[in-house]
Amino acid sequence: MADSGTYTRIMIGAGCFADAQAAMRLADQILATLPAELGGILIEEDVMADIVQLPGQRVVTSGGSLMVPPSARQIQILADSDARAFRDKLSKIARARSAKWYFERRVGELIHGLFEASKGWDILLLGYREMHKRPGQVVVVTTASRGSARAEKLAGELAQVLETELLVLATEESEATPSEPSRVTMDNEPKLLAQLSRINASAVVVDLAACPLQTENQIRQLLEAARCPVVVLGAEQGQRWIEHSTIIPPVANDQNTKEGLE
Amino acid sequence: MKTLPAEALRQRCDPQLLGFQTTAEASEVSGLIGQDRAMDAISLSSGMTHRDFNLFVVGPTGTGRHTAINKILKEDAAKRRQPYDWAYVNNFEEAHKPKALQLPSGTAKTLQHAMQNLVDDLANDIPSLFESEEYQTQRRAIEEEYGEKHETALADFSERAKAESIALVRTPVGFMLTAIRDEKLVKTEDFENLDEAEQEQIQEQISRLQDDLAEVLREGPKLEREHRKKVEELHAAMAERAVSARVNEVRLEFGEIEPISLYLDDVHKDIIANAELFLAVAENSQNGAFPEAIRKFHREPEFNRYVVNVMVSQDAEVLAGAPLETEDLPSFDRLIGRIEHVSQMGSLVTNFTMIKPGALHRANGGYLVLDARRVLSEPFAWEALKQSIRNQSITITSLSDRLNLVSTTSLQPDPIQLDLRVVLVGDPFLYMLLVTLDPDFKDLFKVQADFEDVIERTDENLARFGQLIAAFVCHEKLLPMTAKGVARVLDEATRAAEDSRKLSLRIGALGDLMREAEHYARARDSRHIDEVDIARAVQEKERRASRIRDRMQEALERRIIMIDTSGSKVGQINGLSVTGIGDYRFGRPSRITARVRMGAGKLVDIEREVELGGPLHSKGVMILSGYLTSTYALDVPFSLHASLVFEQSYGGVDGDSASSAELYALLSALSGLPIDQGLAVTGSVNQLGEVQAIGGVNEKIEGFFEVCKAHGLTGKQGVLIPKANIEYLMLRDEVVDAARKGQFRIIPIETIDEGIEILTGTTAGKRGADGRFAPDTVNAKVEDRLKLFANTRKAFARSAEDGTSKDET
Repeated sequence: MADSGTYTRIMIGAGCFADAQAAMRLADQILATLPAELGGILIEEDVMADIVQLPGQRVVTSGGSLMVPPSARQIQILADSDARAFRDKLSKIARARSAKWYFERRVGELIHGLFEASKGWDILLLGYREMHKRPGQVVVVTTASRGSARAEKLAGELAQVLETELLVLATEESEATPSEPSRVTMDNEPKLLAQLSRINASAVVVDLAACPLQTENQIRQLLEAARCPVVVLGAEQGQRWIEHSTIIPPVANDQNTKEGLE
Repeated sequence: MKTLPAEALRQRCDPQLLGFQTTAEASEVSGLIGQDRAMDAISLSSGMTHRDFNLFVVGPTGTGRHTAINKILKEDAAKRRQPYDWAYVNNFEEAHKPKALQLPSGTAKTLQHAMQNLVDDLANDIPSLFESEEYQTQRRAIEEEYGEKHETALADFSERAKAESIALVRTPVGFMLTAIRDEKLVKTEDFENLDEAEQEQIQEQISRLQDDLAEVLREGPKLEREHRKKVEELHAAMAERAVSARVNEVRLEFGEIEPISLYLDDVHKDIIANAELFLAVAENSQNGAFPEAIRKFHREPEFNRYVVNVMVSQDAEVLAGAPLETEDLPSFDRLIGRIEHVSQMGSLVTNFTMIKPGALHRANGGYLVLDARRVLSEPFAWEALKQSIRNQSITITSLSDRLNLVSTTSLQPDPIQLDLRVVLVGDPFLYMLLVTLDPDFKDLFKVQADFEDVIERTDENLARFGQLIAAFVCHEKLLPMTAKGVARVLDEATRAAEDSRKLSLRIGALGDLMREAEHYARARDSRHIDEVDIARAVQEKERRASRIRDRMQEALERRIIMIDTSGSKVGQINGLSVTGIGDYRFGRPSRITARVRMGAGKLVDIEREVELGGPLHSKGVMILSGYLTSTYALDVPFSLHASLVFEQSYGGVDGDSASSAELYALLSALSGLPIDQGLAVTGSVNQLGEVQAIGGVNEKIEGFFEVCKAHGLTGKQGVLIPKANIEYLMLRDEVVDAARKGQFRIIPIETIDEGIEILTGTTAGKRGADGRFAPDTVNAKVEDRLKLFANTRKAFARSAEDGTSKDET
């Protein structure tokens, strides 16, 4: 998180507006506690267009209905509509909190694109649609040996704001780590993900510097297992697979915009 | 000529009759005299239990109607049991139809306070209960249970899909499934490259898992409902523990009162169902100077639903009997109650706490006294009163609703059962109007209490009235009044009655007189109110009101208005009239003149011709015309043309009291005999020549006396009054003194003949056996003149005919 006197830069990323919504609600809660700048990125994945024509393909709605998948034209319309809704909602939240905001729309693979775009941002917030209304815990995923004070601090603050409990989910059991009811240690990443999948979580917080899951694929699996927004810290350090030239907006010039900065 | 002796001109009450020297010695007497009939009627209406025996009290103001009603009704009310209390409470099922609670006397306010305490207590107890570790633990357990159920179902599905190498893809419209081969999603083009068996397998897997996922997602809302129900059950169970105990305490306080018990059942259920109200208020509480525990939560608008809105409550400590209420402004709202509104966000809203009681609620179970004229002059009040009496219930409706003036939320409160005796107080005119014009009136007001305004002036009544005056003096804390003073007041009562045999029962006016007299008594440092003080009060009252009379008197003295009080004149007489301003009346003389000539039998009443004469005056003139035509010159055509006028009269003239004077003027004009101008005349005449009684005789005599006094009393002056009016004489002392000294005369007469003799000093004359009046009598001269007119007319007609025939020839 940014030092005192500056403001935290939070990037919200999602593949569609439904996923972004839950993340934006969480971002709003964070904005209530600290000065921040808000970014939004919608990444349109090709995968949808690639699989809609599979024989017998149906869309399962969140209400449990089966629908005929949209056509390519409809997919485009939906993407445009989602982008507008995402942008509007983002600007509304930012204005309400008197924060700067930024929005961008890209095409590509979701996690890869988000990590690319989040270079230079303090927090990356991965969206995941709300599956039910039950408020769940705030889970910190970390390694027992290294741990992340800032991840746990942010998670603790979020738990307080959301009036819920904090749970630390760690790998690599360590003798130094005291046994606490709010701390669960797993042997390895698959077990951790399986455990996470069965936890009712409102948000998952990870610090890439102290997270057993670091690759794009692992982060994707983490998001799928969490089924809630994932707060990623340390994304500003960039991953080895992120090109320097993809940082948006360039850190040196915070007035730079691709779509709008207010 | 029979001049009345001074003693006959004024009644004087003998102070000895009263039995005390001053009112301080008089025995305490209360009540009214001479109103037995009215009092019996009031007692009947008050005592009867049957419906619709409501009372209409008829009588002039100041006759003690209200005193009598209050006295009798207060006594009867004290004997009756205290009526029920009434309150409105929330109808938890239909908020727009508040429920009316009929409660034992003195219970409503206790229930109101009990409910306030209940709300205050629960507003502290319920949040404490929900903050308890016990509640938090149970709630957490429910949240975790259902959160886990959601997640488990999704996790199981996720694992099954993963095990079958099927991936879940999120899209803007929902989820889609596809196979994973070599850690990559199988796209459409990849799928087509797979062998048929694998394609079929993937198709089958996707189809099956789609159904599974749909099933899992469909379970979501169901789990939500279950969760909500569990939480509600937990809340209800928690609230139940706090509410049941506290509501039962209230229930015990009121024992077996069924309406309260039923109401508390409803309250119990509602508080449990709405426990969040108590939590929300506790959450929004501002920590002020006082600790939360003593905060008056019942004042918060959220808890209005548990208010007991007391319509009427009796004081159980005081055994006051039934209520006796009056309403000075009996408007629609103030009679039947009203539903108030408050403005919220530009809309007018209301609820059952804004129902306000009216006079009918306050008087329910007892008596309500209303002024009839006021009720009738208030829009819709009379109809509402009748409807309430007829239905024996009070239904509160908004006038604006009834007239569709304002479209806003309103209520339909339960009607409140009405057991009430209504007493309307009004004057006879109003009573007659209601009887004639309102068909419901006689059905709803079956009893009439008719108040007398006079009683016989007997020694017994004088003594009783004296006691009553003494009681009044005592009650009003006036200086004691001497027996002479009381006697003087009683004489004024006779004067007010306009009948020397009667006493006016208009106590109000006499009370004012006594209060004013006390003022003069105190001014002269007297310890008693005496006769002189009463006399002064009478005099000062007249003086205050007599500005116009004085101006008229001045005009008469300066001969601007011409009145002769001496000498004699043909065809001219002093008539007398009465002028009134408010309750002050005074008499004044008017010169009446008559002129005659031959004509065709026409009597011109100039007042009527110029529309200054009223119908009664015209009737009087026609009657005297009838007397003339039927008395004189019966064998020849009536060939008179006469005119009559009130000289210098520029206002209207009505009444027939001057008809005898007009007849005398005509007889004088016809006979050529002058009339003594020192005399004035009053009295009406009938076609038989009899002089009939008139009103205002005292004022008329005094009016002429004033003029004579100004011109100088000669001893020959006086007034001719109808004999029937002797009993009405109650003249001022000044006139009586003048009469006693022989300076002024009051002469009663019965017939026109009697009067004309006195006025002309000539015998009237009677018809002899030959059918002719005795020669040189007034009547003979009148008849001769009329016959002369007839003959002249006949001659004129002949000469005219002759002239015509000559012309023709």
